[in-house]
Amino acid sequence: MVETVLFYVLAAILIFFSLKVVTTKNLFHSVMAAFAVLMAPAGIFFLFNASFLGVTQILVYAGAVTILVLFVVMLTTAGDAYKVTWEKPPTVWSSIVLILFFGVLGFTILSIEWSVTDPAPLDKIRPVTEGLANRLFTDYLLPFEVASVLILATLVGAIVLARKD
Amino acid sequence: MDITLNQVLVLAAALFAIGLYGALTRKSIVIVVMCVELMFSAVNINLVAFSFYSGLDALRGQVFAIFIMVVSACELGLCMAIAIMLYRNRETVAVDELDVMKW
Repeated sequence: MVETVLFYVLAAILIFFSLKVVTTKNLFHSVMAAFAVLMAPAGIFFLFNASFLGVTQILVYAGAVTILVLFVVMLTTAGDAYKVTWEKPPTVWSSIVLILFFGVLGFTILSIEWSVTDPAPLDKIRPVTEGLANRLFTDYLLPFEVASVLILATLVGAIVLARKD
Repeated sequence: MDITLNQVLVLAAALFAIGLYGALTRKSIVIVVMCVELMFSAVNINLVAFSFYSGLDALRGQVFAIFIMVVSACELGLCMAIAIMLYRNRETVAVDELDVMKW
C-alpha cells in the first residue's frame, strides 16, 4: 500500500517536471526541473529493490550531471541570454504527435501479455549490492573494463575538446 | 506489492515520449542533451522493472542499467565539451543556427 502511494507520487513528480523541462523557456528553470526528473527514478529504483542503482542515480545524475549542465548553461550564455526568447512554446501539432507517440507506446505495452512472476515480498529479498559486485567482477568483467577505458577516453576527449588553444 | 509491471512500463513510456519531444523541439543544445538523459532514465526504469518482475535473475537488468548509466554520463560529458566549443567558435548553442551541413 505504502509502495503504491509512493510510486504514484514519484510518477506524478516525474511527469510534471519532465513536462516542465520541455516547456520552460528559462534555461536555468529547465535544468532545475531536470534535476527533479533525474532524482525521481532513484526513488523508483529503491522501490524495485535496486538500492545500489538508486544511490548511483543520485550521485551521478542529480549530483554530477546537473552541476555540469548548470555550469555549461552559465558558460554558454552571455548576460541575460539564459532567459532565451528564441525557444518557441509547444505547438498544437507537436503536442498531437507527442500524444500519438505515447498512445502507440502505451497501447503496445498494454496489449502484450508479459510473463510476470510475482516478486518475493520486499522483506524477504536480500540486499543486491553484494550480488551486483559479484556479477560485475565475474560474468561482466570484460564490459566493466571496457567501460573504464571508455571513461578514460571521455575524460581525455572532453579536456582536449574544451581547452583553449 | 500492488504495482504491476504495466504501470511501470507506461510511466517509462511517458517519460521516454516527453524526452523525445524535448529532444526534437528544444533549441538549446544543452537542453536537448538533457532530454536525451531523460530518455536514458526511462530505459533504466524499464530495465529495473523487468529485472524485478522476471523472477529468474533479479540482477541481470540492474547490471545493464549500470552500464547504461556509465555510457550516458560519458556521452553527456562529451556533449557538454562540444557545447562549450561550439559557443566559443560560433557564439551560439541554438541547434537551428548550426546549419553548416544543410544544403
